[in-house]
Amino acid sequence: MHISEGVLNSPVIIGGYAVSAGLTALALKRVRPGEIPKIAVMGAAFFVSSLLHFKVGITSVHLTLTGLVGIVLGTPAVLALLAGLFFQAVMFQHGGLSTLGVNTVIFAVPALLAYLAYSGLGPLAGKRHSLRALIAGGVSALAVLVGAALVLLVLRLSGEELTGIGFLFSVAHGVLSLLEGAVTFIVVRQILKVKPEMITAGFMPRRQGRSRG
Amino acid sequence: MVCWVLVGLCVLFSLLSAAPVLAHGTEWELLDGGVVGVRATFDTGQPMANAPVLIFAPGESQVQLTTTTDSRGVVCFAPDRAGVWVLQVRAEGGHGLRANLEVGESMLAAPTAKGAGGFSTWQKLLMAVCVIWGFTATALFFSRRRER
Repeated sequence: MHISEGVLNSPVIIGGYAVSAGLTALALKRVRPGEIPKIAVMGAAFFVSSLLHFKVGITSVHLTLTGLVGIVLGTPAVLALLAGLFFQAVMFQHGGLSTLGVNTVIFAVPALLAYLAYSGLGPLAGKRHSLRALIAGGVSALAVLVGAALVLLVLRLSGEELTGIGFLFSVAHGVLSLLEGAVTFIVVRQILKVKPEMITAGFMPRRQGRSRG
Repeated sequence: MVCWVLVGLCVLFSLLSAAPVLAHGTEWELLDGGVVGVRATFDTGQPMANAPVLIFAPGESQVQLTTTTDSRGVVCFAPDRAGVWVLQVRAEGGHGLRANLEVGESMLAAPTAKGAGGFSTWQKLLMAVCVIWGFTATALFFSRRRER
Protein backbone atom coordinates (compact mmCIF):
# COMPACT_ATOMS: atom_id res chain seq x y z
CA MET A 1 0.00 0.00 0.00
CA HIS A 2 2.86 2.35 0.70
CA ILE A 3 4.21 4.07 -2.38
CA SER A 4 8.00 4.45 -2.33
CA GLU A 5 10.20 7.33 -3.38
CA GLY A 6 10.79 7.79 -7.06
CA VAL A 7 7.65 6.07 -8.29
CA LEU A 8 5.37 9.07 -8.71
CA ASN A 9 5.71 12.15 -10.87
CA SER A 10 5.74 15.60 -9.34
CA PRO A 11 2.14 16.71 -10.05
CA VAL A 12 0.85 13.66 -8.19
CA ILE A 13 3.28 14.24 -5.31
CA ILE A 14 2.26 17.89 -5.00
CA GLY A 15 -1.41 17.00 -5.34
CA GLY A 16 -0.99 14.41 -2.59
CA TYR A 17 0.56 16.96 -0.28
CA ALA A 18 -2.20 19.47 -1.06
CA VAL A 19 -5.02 17.03 -0.34
CA SER A 20 -3.35 15.64 2.77
CA ALA A 21 -2.72 19.17 4.07
CA GLY A 22 -6.44 19.84 3.74
CA LEU A 23 -7.32 16.62 5.53
CA THR A 24 -4.80 17.36 8.28
CA ALA A 25 -6.21 20.86 8.81
CA LEU A 26 -9.71 19.41 9.05
CA ALA A 27 -8.53 16.78 11.52
CA LEU A 28 -6.71 19.33 13.68
CA LYS A 29 -9.91 21.35 13.89
CA ARG A 30 -11.87 18.34 15.07
CA VAL A 31 -9.48 17.15 17.79
CA ARG A 32 -10.78 17.49 21.29
CA PRO A 33 -8.05 17.80 23.93
CA GLY A 34 -9.00 14.59 25.71
CA GLU A 35 -8.58 12.62 22.50
CA ILE A 36 -4.85 13.05 22.05
CA PRO A 37 -3.85 9.90 23.99
CA LYS A 38 -6.27 7.84 21.95
CA ILE A 39 -4.81 9.24 18.73
CA ALA A 40 -1.30 8.44 19.93
CA VAL A 41 -2.16 4.86 20.83
CA MET A 42 -3.93 4.23 17.53
CA GLY A 43 -0.99 5.82 15.74
CA ALA A 44 1.32 3.35 17.45
CA ALA A 45 -0.93 0.43 16.53
CA PHE A 46 -0.99 1.59 12.92
CA PHE A 47 2.78 2.07 12.90
CA VAL A 48 3.44 -1.48 14.11
CA SER A 49 0.77 -3.20 12.08
CA SER A 50 2.29 -2.03 8.82
CA LEU A 51 5.64 -3.53 9.77
CA LEU A 52 4.28 -7.04 10.18
CA HIS A 53 3.77 -8.66 6.83
CA PHE A 54 2.25 -11.88 5.61
CA LYS A 55 3.11 -13.77 2.47
CA VAL A 56 0.30 -14.13 -0.05
CA GLY A 57 1.52 -16.05 -3.08
CA ILE A 58 4.59 -14.28 -4.41
CA THR A 59 3.80 -10.92 -2.91
CA SER A 60 3.39 -9.83 0.67
CA VAL A 61 0.75 -7.79 2.39
CA HIS A 62 0.62 -6.22 5.78
CA LEU A 63 -2.22 -5.27 8.06
CA THR A 64 -2.98 -1.57 7.90
CA LEU A 65 -5.74 -1.21 10.52
CA THR A 66 -6.97 1.72 8.43
CA GLY A 67 -10.63 0.96 9.02
CA LEU A 68 -10.12 0.37 12.73
CA VAL A 69 -8.20 3.63 13.15
CA GLY A 70 -10.96 5.52 11.30
CA ILE A 71 -13.77 3.92 13.29
CA VAL A 72 -12.12 4.50 16.65
CA LEU A 73 -10.82 8.02 16.04
CA GLY A 74 -13.15 9.64 13.52
CA THR A 75 -11.70 12.58 11.61
CA PRO A 76 -8.57 12.91 13.81
CA ALA A 77 -7.55 9.50 12.40
CA VAL A 78 -5.70 11.52 9.74
CA LEU A 79 -3.23 12.66 12.41
CA ALA A 80 -2.54 9.14 13.65
CA LEU A 81 -2.01 7.93 10.09
CA LEU A 82 0.20 10.87 9.16
CA ALA A 83 2.39 10.35 12.24
CA GLY A 84 2.57 6.59 11.69
CA LEU A 85 3.47 6.98 8.01
CA PHE A 86 6.09 9.58 8.83
CA PHE A 87 7.89 7.25 11.22
CA GLN A 88 7.59 4.30 8.87
CA ALA A 89 9.20 6.37 6.11
CA VAL A 90 11.96 7.81 8.26
CA MET A 91 12.88 4.67 10.19
CA PHE A 92 12.24 1.90 7.69
CA GLN A 93 12.09 3.51 4.23
CA HIS A 94 8.63 2.08 4.12
CA GLY A 95 6.96 4.60 1.89
CA GLY A 96 8.94 7.81 1.60
CA LEU A 97 9.06 11.45 2.58
CA SER A 98 8.26 12.74 -0.90
CA THR A 99 5.30 10.40 -1.09
CA LEU A 100 4.15 11.06 2.48
CA GLY A 101 1.32 13.28 1.23
CA VAL A 102 0.07 10.75 -1.28
CA ASN A 103 0.37 7.90 1.20
CA THR A 104 -1.52 9.90 3.81
CA VAL A 105 -4.35 10.36 1.33
CA ILE A 106 -4.27 6.66 0.42
CA PHE A 107 -4.70 5.70 4.07
CA ALA A 108 -6.79 8.60 5.34
CA VAL A 109 -9.55 8.51 2.74
CA PRO A 110 -10.50 4.87 3.43
CA ALA A 111 -10.25 5.57 7.18
CA LEU A 112 -12.62 8.53 6.90
CA LEU A 113 -15.00 6.58 4.67
CA ALA A 114 -14.97 3.74 7.21
CA TYR A 115 -15.76 6.25 9.94
CA LEU A 116 -18.67 7.71 7.96
CA ALA A 117 -20.03 4.30 6.99
CA TYR A 118 -19.77 2.98 10.52
CA SER A 119 -21.42 6.02 12.07
CA GLY A 120 -24.24 5.60 9.57
CA LEU A 121 -24.67 1.84 9.91
CA GLY A 122 -23.52 1.23 13.47
CA PRO A 123 -26.64 2.62 15.22
CA LEU A 124 -28.80 0.19 13.21
CA ALA A 125 -27.36 -2.61 15.31
CA GLY A 126 -28.62 -1.00 18.49
CA LYS A 127 -27.07 -2.56 21.56
CA ARG A 128 -26.07 -5.84 19.93
CA HIS A 129 -22.31 -5.65 20.22
CA SER A 130 -21.47 -8.55 17.93
CA LEU A 131 -23.57 -7.12 15.13
CA ARG A 132 -21.99 -3.72 15.59
CA ALA A 133 -18.54 -5.29 15.49
CA LEU A 134 -19.54 -7.22 12.40
CA ILE A 135 -20.51 -3.96 10.70
CA ALA A 136 -17.17 -2.48 11.73
CA GLY A 137 -15.38 -5.52 10.30
CA GLY A 138 -17.26 -5.32 7.02
CA VAL A 139 -16.60 -1.61 6.71
CA SER A 140 -12.88 -2.16 7.37
CA ALA A 141 -12.71 -4.92 4.79
CA LEU A 142 -14.16 -2.52 2.24
CA ALA A 143 -11.77 0.22 3.37
CA VAL A 144 -8.81 -1.97 2.37
CA LEU A 145 -10.23 -2.34 -1.12
CA VAL A 146 -10.80 1.41 -1.36
CA GLY A 147 -7.16 1.90 -0.34
CA ALA A 148 -5.92 -0.57 -2.95
CA ALA A 149 -8.06 1.15 -5.58
CA LEU A 150 -6.55 4.50 -4.57
CA VAL A 151 -3.03 3.08 -4.96
CA LEU A 152 -3.86 1.89 -8.45
CA LEU A 153 -5.45 5.23 -9.29
CA VAL A 154 -2.45 7.18 -8.05
CA LEU A 155 -0.04 4.97 -10.01
CA ARG A 156 -2.21 5.41 -13.09
CA LEU A 157 -2.27 9.19 -12.65
CA SER A 158 1.48 9.04 -12.47
CA GLY A 159 1.64 7.27 -15.80
CA GLU A 160 2.46 3.83 -14.48
CA GLU A 161 1.08 1.04 -16.65
CA LEU A 162 -0.04 -1.78 -14.42
CA THR A 163 -1.56 -4.95 -15.69
CA GLY A 164 -0.08 -8.13 -14.26
CA ILE A 165 1.29 -6.56 -11.13
CA GLY A 166 -1.86 -4.54 -10.69
CA PHE A 167 -3.95 -7.65 -10.79
CA LEU A 168 -1.85 -9.52 -8.27
CA PHE A 169 -1.93 -6.50 -6.11
CA SER A 170 -5.70 -6.61 -5.94
CA VAL A 171 -5.82 -10.37 -5.25
CA ALA A 172 -3.39 -9.87 -2.38
CA HIS A 173 -5.50 -7.04 -1.12
CA GLY A 174 -8.61 -9.16 -1.37
CA VAL A 175 -7.02 -11.56 1.10
CA LEU A 176 -5.85 -8.70 3.25
CA SER A 177 -9.31 -7.21 3.31
CA LEU A 178 -10.73 -10.40 4.82
CA LEU A 179 -7.92 -10.52 7.36
CA GLU A 180 -8.35 -6.89 8.26
CA GLY A 181 -12.11 -7.29 8.56
CA ALA A 182 -11.59 -10.16 10.99
CA VAL A 183 -9.07 -8.24 13.11
CA THR A 184 -11.34 -5.19 13.24
CA PHE A 185 -14.29 -7.37 14.22
CA ILE A 186 -12.38 -8.90 17.13
CA VAL A 187 -10.93 -5.62 18.36
CA VAL A 188 -14.17 -3.64 18.05
CA ARG A 189 -16.18 -6.34 19.81
CA GLN A 190 -13.68 -6.33 22.65
CA ILE A 191 -13.73 -2.53 22.90
CA LEU A 192 -17.54 -2.45 22.87
CA LYS A 193 -17.51 -4.90 25.75
CA VAL A 194 -14.84 -3.18 27.81
CA LYS A 195 -14.92 0.50 26.96
CA PRO A 196 -17.66 1.40 24.47
CA GLU A 197 -17.09 5.16 24.76
CA MET A 198 -13.64 4.67 23.26
CA ILE A 199 -15.23 4.35 19.84
CA THR A 200 -16.05 7.70 18.32
CA ALA A 201 -18.11 6.70 15.36
CA GLY A 202 -21.76 5.94 15.94
CA PHE A 203 -21.45 6.44 19.66
CA MET A 204 -20.94 10.01 20.67
CA PRO A 205 -21.67 10.57 24.30
CA ARG A 206 -21.06 14.14 25.32
CA ARG A 207 -18.11 13.56 27.53
CA GLN A 208 -17.82 16.04 30.36
CA GLY A 209 -14.26 17.26 30.05
CA ARG A 210 -11.79 14.94 31.68
CA SER A 211 -13.95 13.75 34.52
CA ARG A 212 -13.45 10.10 33.55
CA GLY A 213 -9.71 10.34 34.14
CA MET B 1 -8.86 6.97 30.14
CA VAL B 2 -5.87 5.01 31.41
CA CYS B 3 -7.95 1.90 30.78
CA TRP B 4 -8.01 2.25 27.01
CA VAL B 5 -4.37 3.18 26.90
CA LEU B 6 -3.90 -0.25 28.43
CA VAL B 7 -6.28 -1.82 25.92
CA GLY B 8 -4.22 -0.23 23.14
CA LEU B 9 -0.99 -1.52 24.65
CA CYS B 10 -2.39 -5.03 24.84
CA VAL B 11 -3.38 -4.88 21.17
CA LEU B 12 0.12 -3.64 20.35
CA PHE B 13 1.99 -6.32 22.16
CA SER B 14 -0.23 -9.12 20.91
CA LEU B 15 0.49 -7.83 17.39
CA LEU B 16 4.21 -7.65 18.08
CA SER B 17 4.43 -11.17 19.39
CA ALA B 18 2.19 -12.58 16.65
CA ALA B 19 4.47 -12.17 13.66
CA PRO B 20 7.93 -10.83 14.34
CA VAL B 21 8.81 -10.36 10.66
CA LEU B 22 9.63 -6.73 10.36
CA ALA B 23 9.56 -4.33 7.45
CA HIS B 24 9.13 -5.23 3.85
CA GLY B 25 10.56 -2.03 2.49
CA THR B 26 13.37 -2.25 -0.01
CA GLU B 27 16.94 -2.89 0.97
CA TRP B 28 20.27 -2.77 -0.81
CA GLU B 29 23.79 -4.01 -0.25
CA LEU B 30 27.08 -3.29 -1.94
CA LEU B 31 28.35 -6.50 -3.46
CA ASP B 32 31.87 -7.66 -3.87
CA GLY B 33 33.07 -10.49 -6.12
CA GLY B 34 31.57 -12.28 -9.09
CA VAL B 35 31.41 -9.11 -11.15
CA VAL B 36 32.76 -8.81 -14.69
CA GLY B 37 33.72 -5.36 -15.92
CA VAL B 38 34.54 -4.36 -19.51
CA ARG B 39 35.91 -1.10 -20.82
CA ALA B 40 34.95 -0.47 -24.46
CA THR B 41 37.11 1.91 -26.49
CA PHE B 42 37.52 2.87 -30.13
CA ASP B 43 40.89 2.09 -31.67
CA THR B 44 41.79 5.74 -31.16
CA GLY B 45 41.60 5.05 -27.45
CA GLN B 46 38.48 7.15 -27.06
CA PRO B 47 35.90 5.44 -24.81
CA MET B 48 32.57 4.25 -26.21
CA ALA B 49 30.69 6.39 -23.75
CA ASN B 50 26.98 6.03 -23.00
CA ALA B 51 26.55 3.34 -25.64
CA PRO B 52 23.80 0.70 -25.48
CA VAL B 53 25.04 -2.75 -24.47
CA LEU B 54 23.44 -6.14 -25.07
CA ILE B 55 24.60 -9.08 -22.99
CA PHE B 56 23.87 -12.69 -23.97
CA ALA B 57 24.18 -15.62 -21.58
CA PRO B 58 26.14 -18.70 -22.75
CA GLY B 59 24.23 -20.55 -25.46
CA GLU B 60 21.32 -18.15 -25.40
CA SER B 61 20.13 -16.14 -28.37
CA GLN B 62 17.81 -14.04 -26.25
CA VAL B 63 19.28 -10.94 -24.69
CA GLN B 64 19.92 -11.50 -21.02
CA LEU B 65 20.52 -7.90 -20.08
CA THR B 66 20.44 -4.54 -21.83
CA THR B 67 22.31 -1.66 -20.32
CA THR B 68 24.59 1.21 -21.34
CA THR B 69 28.23 1.99 -20.80
CA ASP B 70 29.09 4.88 -18.53
CA SER B 71 31.00 8.00 -19.50
CA ARG B 72 34.28 6.04 -19.38
CA GLY B 73 32.94 3.30 -21.63
CA VAL B 74 32.76 0.88 -18.70
CA VAL B 75 30.05 -1.70 -18.26
CA CYS B 76 29.76 -4.24 -15.44
CA PHE B 77 27.57 -7.26 -14.91
CA ALA B 78 27.49 -10.27 -12.62
CA PRO B 79 27.23 -13.55 -14.56
CA ASP B 80 25.25 -16.28 -12.85
CA ARG B 81 26.75 -19.24 -14.74
CA ALA B 82 30.01 -20.25 -16.37
CA GLY B 83 30.54 -20.30 -20.14
CA VAL B 84 31.05 -17.81 -22.95
CA TRP B 85 29.09 -14.63 -22.40
CA VAL B 86 28.67 -12.40 -25.44
CA LEU B 87 28.74 -8.69 -24.93
CA GLN B 88 27.73 -6.31 -27.73
CA VAL B 89 28.38 -2.60 -27.48
CA ARG B 90 26.58 -0.48 -30.06
CA ALA B 91 28.36 2.83 -30.43
CA GLU B 92 27.09 5.57 -32.67
CA GLY B 93 27.45 5.49 -36.46
CA GLY B 94 27.31 1.73 -36.73
CA HIS B 95 30.47 1.30 -34.71
CA GLY B 96 30.56 -1.08 -31.89
CA LEU B 97 32.24 -4.16 -30.58
CA ARG B 98 31.46 -7.72 -29.80
CA ALA B 99 33.35 -9.44 -27.05
CA ASN B 100 33.29 -13.11 -26.09
CA LEU B 101 33.97 -13.32 -22.39
CA GLU B 102 35.11 -16.64 -20.99
CA VAL B 103 33.60 -16.90 -17.56
CA GLY B 104 35.07 -19.74 -15.52
CA GLU B 105 33.53 -21.38 -12.48
CA SER B 106 36.09 -19.68 -10.28
CA MET B 107 34.84 -16.26 -11.36
CA LEU B 108 31.36 -17.02 -10.14
CA ALA B 109 32.22 -16.30 -6.53
CA ALA B 110 29.01 -15.78 -4.68
CA PRO B 111 28.55 -12.06 -4.31
CA THR B 112 29.18 -11.09 -0.72
CA ALA B 113 27.98 -8.02 1.06
CA LYS B 114 30.63 -5.40 1.62
CA GLY B 115 28.96 -2.27 2.93
CA ALA B 116 26.09 -1.94 5.29
CA GLY B 117 22.92 -1.09 3.43
CA GLY B 118 20.30 -1.93 5.98
CA PHE B 119 19.59 -2.71 9.56
CA SER B 120 19.50 -6.09 11.24
CA THR B 121 16.23 -7.44 12.52
CA TRP B 122 17.21 -6.61 16.09
CA GLN B 123 18.07 -3.04 15.18
CA LYS B 124 14.69 -2.74 13.47
CA LEU B 125 12.96 -4.19 16.49
CA LEU B 126 14.71 -1.67 18.71
CA MET B 127 13.73 1.17 16.38
CA ALA B 128 10.13 0.00 16.31
CA VAL B 129 10.01 -0.27 20.09
CA CYS B 130 11.44 3.25 20.44
CA VAL B 131 8.82 4.71 18.13
CA ILE B 132 6.05 2.81 19.91
CA TRP B 133 7.32 4.12 23.20
CA GLY B 134 7.23 7.61 21.71
CA PHE B 135 3.58 7.22 20.80
CA THR B 136 2.72 5.61 24.10
CA ALA B 137 4.54 8.24 26.13
CA THR B 138 2.61 10.88 24.22
CA ALA B 139 -0.58 9.11 25.17
CA LEU B 140 0.44 8.83 28.81
CA PHE B 141 1.57 12.45 28.92
CA PHE B 142 -1.73 13.76 27.66
CA SER B 143 -3.81 11.41 29.76
CA ARG B 144 -2.11 12.27 33.06
CA ARG B 145 -4.26 13.72 35.74
CA ARG B 146 -3.91 17.44 36.01
CA GLU B 147 -2.65 18.47 39.39
CA ARG B 148 -4.01 21.57 40.90
